Amino acid sequence: MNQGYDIVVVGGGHAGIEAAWAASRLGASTALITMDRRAIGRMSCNPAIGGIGKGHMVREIDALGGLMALATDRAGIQFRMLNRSKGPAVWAPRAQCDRDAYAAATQAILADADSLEIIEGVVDDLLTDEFNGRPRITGVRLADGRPLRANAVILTTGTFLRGLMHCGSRRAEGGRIGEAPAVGVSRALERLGFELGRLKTGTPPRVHRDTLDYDRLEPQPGDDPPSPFSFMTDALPQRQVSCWITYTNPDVHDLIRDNLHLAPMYSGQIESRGPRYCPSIEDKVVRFAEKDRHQLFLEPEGYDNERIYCNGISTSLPAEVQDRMIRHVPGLENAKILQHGYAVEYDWVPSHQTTFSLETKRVRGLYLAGQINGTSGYEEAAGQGVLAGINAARAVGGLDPIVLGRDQAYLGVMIDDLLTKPQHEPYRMFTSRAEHRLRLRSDNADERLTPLGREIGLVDDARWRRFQTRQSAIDDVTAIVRSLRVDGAPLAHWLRRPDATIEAFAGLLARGLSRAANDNAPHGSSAPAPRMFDRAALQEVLTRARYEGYLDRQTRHIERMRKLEHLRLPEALDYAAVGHLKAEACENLARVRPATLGQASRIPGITAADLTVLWLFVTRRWGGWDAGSPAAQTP
Amino acid sequence: MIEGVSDTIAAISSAHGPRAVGIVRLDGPEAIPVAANLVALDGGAAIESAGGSTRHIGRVRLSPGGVDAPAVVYVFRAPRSYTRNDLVEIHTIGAPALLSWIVRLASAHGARPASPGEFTARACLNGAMSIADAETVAAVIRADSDQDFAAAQAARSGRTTREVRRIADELADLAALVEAQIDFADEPIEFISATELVTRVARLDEALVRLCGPPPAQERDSALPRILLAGPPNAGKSTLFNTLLGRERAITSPVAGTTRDVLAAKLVLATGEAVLVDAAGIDDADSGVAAQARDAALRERDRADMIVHVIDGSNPVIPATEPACDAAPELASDPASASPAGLRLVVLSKCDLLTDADERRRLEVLQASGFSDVVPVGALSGRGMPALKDRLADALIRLRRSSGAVSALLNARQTQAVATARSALGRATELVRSSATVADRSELLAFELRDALDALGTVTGAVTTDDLLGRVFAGFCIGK
Repeated sequence: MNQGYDIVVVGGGHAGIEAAWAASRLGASTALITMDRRAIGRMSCNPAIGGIGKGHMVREIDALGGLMALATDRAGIQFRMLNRSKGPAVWAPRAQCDRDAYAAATQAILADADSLEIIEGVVDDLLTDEFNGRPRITGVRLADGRPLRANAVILTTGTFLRGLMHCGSRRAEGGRIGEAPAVGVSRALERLGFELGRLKTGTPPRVHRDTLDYDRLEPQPGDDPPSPFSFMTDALPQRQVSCWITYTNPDVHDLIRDNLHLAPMYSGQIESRGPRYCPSIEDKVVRFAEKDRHQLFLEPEGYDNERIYCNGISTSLPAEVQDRMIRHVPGLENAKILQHGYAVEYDWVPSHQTTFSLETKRVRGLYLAGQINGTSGYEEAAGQGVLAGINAARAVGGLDPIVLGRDQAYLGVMIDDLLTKPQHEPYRMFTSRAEHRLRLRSDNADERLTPLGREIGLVDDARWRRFQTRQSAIDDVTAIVRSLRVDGAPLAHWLRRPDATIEAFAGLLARGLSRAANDNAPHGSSAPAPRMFDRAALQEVLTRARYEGYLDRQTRHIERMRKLEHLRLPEALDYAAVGHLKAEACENLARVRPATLGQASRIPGITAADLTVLWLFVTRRWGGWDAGSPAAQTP
Repeated sequence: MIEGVSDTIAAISSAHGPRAVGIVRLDGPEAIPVAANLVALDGGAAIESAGGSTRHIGRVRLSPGGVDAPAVVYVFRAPRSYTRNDLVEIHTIGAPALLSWIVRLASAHGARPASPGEFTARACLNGAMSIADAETVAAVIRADSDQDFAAAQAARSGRTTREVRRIADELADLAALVEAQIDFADEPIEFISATELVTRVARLDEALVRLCGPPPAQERDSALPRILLAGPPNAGKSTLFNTLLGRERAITSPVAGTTRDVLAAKLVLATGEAVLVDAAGIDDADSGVAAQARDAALRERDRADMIVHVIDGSNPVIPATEPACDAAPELASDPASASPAGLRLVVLSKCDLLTDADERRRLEVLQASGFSDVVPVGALSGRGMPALKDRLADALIRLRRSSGAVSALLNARQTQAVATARSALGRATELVRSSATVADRSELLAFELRDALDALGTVTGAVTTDDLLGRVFAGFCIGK
């Protein structure tokens, strides 16, 4: 049957499910193609969602109307708020998940999407025609020969593009253990003229939970009470489990050193680069030879799952060496490895070939999201997925794409980084990448993005009502704060104290309000009932007070740069014709093709003089400098 | 990058390097009011009431007591100017130091130091230039910027720029550690302890203070060469200080470490004047007042043009060579360097308490330790003092001769960058001091450190997040 869809999503990983969910919720008829429908939402790496920077993105995905946070709240078995001892801007939720429950949760959520169809199959080719002299996507062809027509195709192929797994000298083709690679898509991309790169990532061994000596392990319990990921979740009634910590030792390190020649990364079998922030245990032992121990974080994969994920010893050493290695680790002396660690290499599409909407420059209607864009991590993938889904659906509907600013969301920081800076390793989010970190909190993602999500059409009525209630509670508290004084000084001053707590704040509000009521009430009338305050609203007001001065300073800077930041660079700009750009600048600009002067300013090798030249050229050619002040030419 | 088109900017508009006439140009809505703070017109006329396209004779307003510099001031009013904005040109003596001082003064009054090519860019954007093609303008900007770049390259070997780079580098290391503490909080690593953080922020701030030079009150003396008396506590520095100046200014007592403060006074010698500086002993005291005094002494050591190393003649143990002594010969050994002359003199004090034989023996021991040229003095009896004054007078001639190279002034943009960085570091220090744990303010601390780093980055080249992350990954085993 030759069906037609608005949008076809290739891949059922974290990018694919968000893309399919968003696109179908926006009314696009959507097909999600996966090799195995039971693998939808599978966590191929560690069984955890969130973390510092990543947890921020999960909240943003949630605020826009995505599904990752909802699935995490349903499947979480341990919740922790990281960085709690620091300021609210860097608080970051993380959850250990029941691997099977997570996949089931995503599948259940997707089952609710009306215009979404899930198709099992392998995409063998991309179908295109020519439109205005440029290739345009028309659909995909499945391995069984079936063509699927579509106006837009979103590729979210993860590690499956010509995936090659290494365990010692043993090599196997595939994107995950037991799952076949996707070769046809790589071939099609090459045929269409895309430049492909190669990246590498690794996994550690998984051991049987009944073979650990828990007396020798250090437990790490979850928070009590746990904090949910989703703005829509009120409580997490589930039982929480503990994670466990142990360490490697010199015996383990000696064994690794002795067998280094068997590790594919060192024998030359793998040439692509892995991430510096997630080194293999081989790398750790070689690069940090002076350290006599490295931490292992043992993560249970579920309530009833017998597997424990040994985070910290990602390796591609031969299975037999892994078995011996484990035996030297305290608590793991008798551990049985259920799945050995392996490294996987896969194709990616270097991002200078992609636009800020995540559509490729080369092929109209073809979008990329997730590891194919050179990122690592479920959250990074999901974030791109939701944006690619939104933008593909908008393009099909004839609307302009949504591009988030660096001062608006971590998702915006990520896409801007991916497109303006050359990547040498899989990209992972860190809060330090966000220059507007104090603004981009995990607990104000709703305020930053839910109105946009509503405008786009992804935020449903329930979320919108809840959002409005929260906002008015915040406004309410803010107004009361303005009217009250404590010990003769405005309450706002008190809020700036570093030792201000929510409890003390609530107490001051209650006291202040009752005093004010007594002063105003006619003599003899009864005292008004004590007010209740939304804890989240109190926290928000407290946090705003903490950051007020800092945000003001940053806002001034943003305002000053805004005009230049948003000055549009024409898509057709011929950089060679600008003249007087340094050769390196000209080359990098032509490769990246930034959409705005702000993006251009973040491209390596671009100097202030280059920007000035560019600015003049653009305002002269496109704005005409007789049109008045250059501000008139900025959108 | 050009930061805006509607504010007031200032820059030296004449060619780089010393010239007979130098020009400082101000452009923007506040150009004329800012200029009023920089120049005084002859006959007391107010520049604010000057008409457009007019020429005035006046003087640059130097600090009180300074020598006035003559100036010709051109006032142009919008739109009849090069840029079609209000524009003022100050033509004065072409001394680079004077010109950058005027720009600094302008920025103190609210003008922003201009980027390369910014005047031309404004002229273009306001449609004031009758240039047919944008490329011509681009060429002008490129040339401006290349010239600026060449000047920066030339300055790169200078001590000041090197020092800014060193500070920026250390600041980047520190910022990387604070960032790591936020981003890798779940790693079992303590990236930096609270104590170390406090110490390092304070040290960076001090380094920037040194870079800015002395506070204005001391500015007048700063033109004179500085001679520092250095040596261990109770070596007799204060007694020597008083004897050389002929008065009782320092508190002298036999208790080691009596001098708690830096004392400075003008010393008149046969060949000219110098500032004689007596600092606390540079010893290992590390707490309270003693530590402060020691820090002050270290600062003085870095500013000194000449160090007189005082060795206690009454102490039979020849003290270990200390940093003050080490630094000087290193600087002096390279006369080609643009650094201060770095002269050194060794004095054996309290010789009036020694027998001739003892004194001879001490001098022999010193000679064996590499101090061949030692002046023995006895401050109480005045013994050896004329010889010492002669030596200092000789040194003064050499210091004056090399004083051209001594001036390592920051230009206006650098000065602003350093000032911005300092205020950020000051706030960082305040944050650290006022919080119970460093952790609970770390994101604010990171904000201030990045602010400081961005400011210095305008001089040394921007430090990106990738640079910071690279430092973390290179130094720590990150990743579970």
